[in-house]
Amino acid sequence: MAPDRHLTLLSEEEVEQIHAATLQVLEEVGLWLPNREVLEILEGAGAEVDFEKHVARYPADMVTAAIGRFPDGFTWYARNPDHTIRIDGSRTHFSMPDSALNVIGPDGKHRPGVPRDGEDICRLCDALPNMAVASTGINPPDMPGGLLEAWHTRTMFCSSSKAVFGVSREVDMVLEMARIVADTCDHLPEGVLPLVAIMNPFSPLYNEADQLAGMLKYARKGVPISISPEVQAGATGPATVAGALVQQTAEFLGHAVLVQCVQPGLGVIYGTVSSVFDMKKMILPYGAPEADILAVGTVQMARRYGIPARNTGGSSDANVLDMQAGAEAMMSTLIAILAGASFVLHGAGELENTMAVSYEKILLDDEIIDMSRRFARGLGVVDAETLAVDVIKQVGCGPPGQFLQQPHTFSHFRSEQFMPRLFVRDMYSNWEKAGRQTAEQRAAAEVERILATHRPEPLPDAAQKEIDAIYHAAEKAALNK
Amino acid sequence: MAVEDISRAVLAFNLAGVTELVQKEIDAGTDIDTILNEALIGAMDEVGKRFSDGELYVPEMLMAAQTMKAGLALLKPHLTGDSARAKGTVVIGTVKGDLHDIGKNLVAMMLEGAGFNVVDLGVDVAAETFVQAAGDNGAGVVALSALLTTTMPAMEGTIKALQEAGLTVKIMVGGAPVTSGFADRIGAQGFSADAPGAVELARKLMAAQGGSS
Repeated sequence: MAPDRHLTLLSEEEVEQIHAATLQVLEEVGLWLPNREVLEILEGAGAEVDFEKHVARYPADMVTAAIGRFPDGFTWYARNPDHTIRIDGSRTHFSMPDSALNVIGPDGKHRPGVPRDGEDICRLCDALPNMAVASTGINPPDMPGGLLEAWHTRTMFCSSSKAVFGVSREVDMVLEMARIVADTCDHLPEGVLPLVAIMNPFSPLYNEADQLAGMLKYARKGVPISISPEVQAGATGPATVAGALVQQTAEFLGHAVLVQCVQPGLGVIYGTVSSVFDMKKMILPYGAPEADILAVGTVQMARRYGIPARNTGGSSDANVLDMQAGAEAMMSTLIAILAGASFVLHGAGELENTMAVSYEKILLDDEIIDMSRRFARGLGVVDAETLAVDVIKQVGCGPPGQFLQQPHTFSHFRSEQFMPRLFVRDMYSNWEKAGRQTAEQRAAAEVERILATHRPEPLPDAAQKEIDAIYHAAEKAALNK
Repeated sequence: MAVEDISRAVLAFNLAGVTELVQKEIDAGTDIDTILNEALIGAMDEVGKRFSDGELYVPEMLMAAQTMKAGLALLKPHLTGDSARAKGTVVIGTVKGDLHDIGKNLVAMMLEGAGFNVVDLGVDVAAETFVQAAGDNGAGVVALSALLTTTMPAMEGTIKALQEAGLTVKIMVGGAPVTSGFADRIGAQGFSADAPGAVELARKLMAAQGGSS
């Protein structure tokens, strides 16, 4: 989609109003960052730091200078060069849920996720063309910290050859696994790791010491960082969506400025996992339309800063695969693509307010992505060939004119039309005769087919052994805790 | 083998290739029925199968049928009376009051692709016209199409007229609102939801008629 055709909700003036308010928040309130090294770095770059209170306040010119160092995009290398992607606003790259506890398997049963599920979810990602970034989808309940991060990273690298993200803890271990994988690749530039780090600031306006330390490690290794605040509008941020966007942008910029101080020119993504706080149920609904407004606002602010953006897309608060699940998934997926987000996590397959991954929904959301991409492509090229006056003249007016047999139809229909793979277009009686399969049932059959047949490209043996050794060491450490 | 090359050319929608290859086989003295049945009709059966499997779409099925017909045109002067009529005659049309013909045309083309002699009466066809044409052409099968729910009753009227005329033709029906339940109720012998299915059905009905008219 052409950049000037992106979906926008904020006028240019409103973007500047959000930016000005953000600068004011950073200058007058600042961020609470309980990590001495971080505070020293920021002070050295011009921040006004209160070491006792762990607060850094950012003068406007310091922020403006850092914004000037943001690159407009970067390459996210995958171990398979065919799966390497550009994060620069030119395409929306999708992934799946992250950190859910439950799965709804091909048998339709809702149950706690087990490690095997994470491997299968990664394999689905590997097989589906619309999935660009690997994810295990789940945190298996009861898996202790330390082992959990090793499991995530090993699974992403081994059960898929697509792009992999770095978790926010156990960063040395993640970097080591990424280094092992990098050593097996010829296509990576010297010193570049096949990794983008995922960091989530806390609201209002803070972070914790460990995550900040990890962020410094990633930045020093030149790993691009996706920074996604999670403002709960009305609870951990202002109730107004505009106010939530201001606070969120301050949280992002406060961290992105730090990254630029450590590694000038390092790629950053402005992400959002914010929404409104549900005032009855006390949850953060990802299917809320306000989350979608914040998503568009995030992409617009990212474009203001000349950087790529991350949204959620496909997430739903429904507990089962129902109409709510479909409506919410469609809305955020379409909006992420129309707005021009570069990366979508908390994506395909998500249900239960981020707590569950549905295998079937991964496939159904993959189809929704196809539909959305087709819509975003619009008319495509408009020229004499597509305006089709010649063929309209050829067929003429009135009966028995029809276009089905025209060579023009033959050569264009496939590229013009979205062809559903799972959604139903049979008339009732034909559909009934063909076994009355719903889209969900078709998706379940496709899940079973993929899981029975798809084998991701394996890592070279030696690298696999090295990664396994790190994983087993983490396992042993977890047992001895 | 050259006969297989013809099939491949039909499946690649290569009209020029089909005419060239068919002419070459005729010139080489290859058995005409072999070219017709194994190369051309065999290819169209494969097209129908790929369509049913979701691999091919309507414009491609039509393009294949057009390609096949170009080859068939070259064969026609060489076909003996027997082989020209061997597969039987189908009279087809859209019933009275209905001007829709896209689905009907598609079925007609696929029936031709399967080697049937097809008499297409067009759209808005009166019951008596069907009766006349079925009798004149010695049809084994009459195929009725309707797209409108309002013209579906005309199907029933046409079937009655055919029966009252004492014709022993088999009748098949199709069109978006038509179902197999409706087909049974109005006394049709068969219903198909799509064009490849219509070909299969016509073969079955024709066989029940004794192979030819």
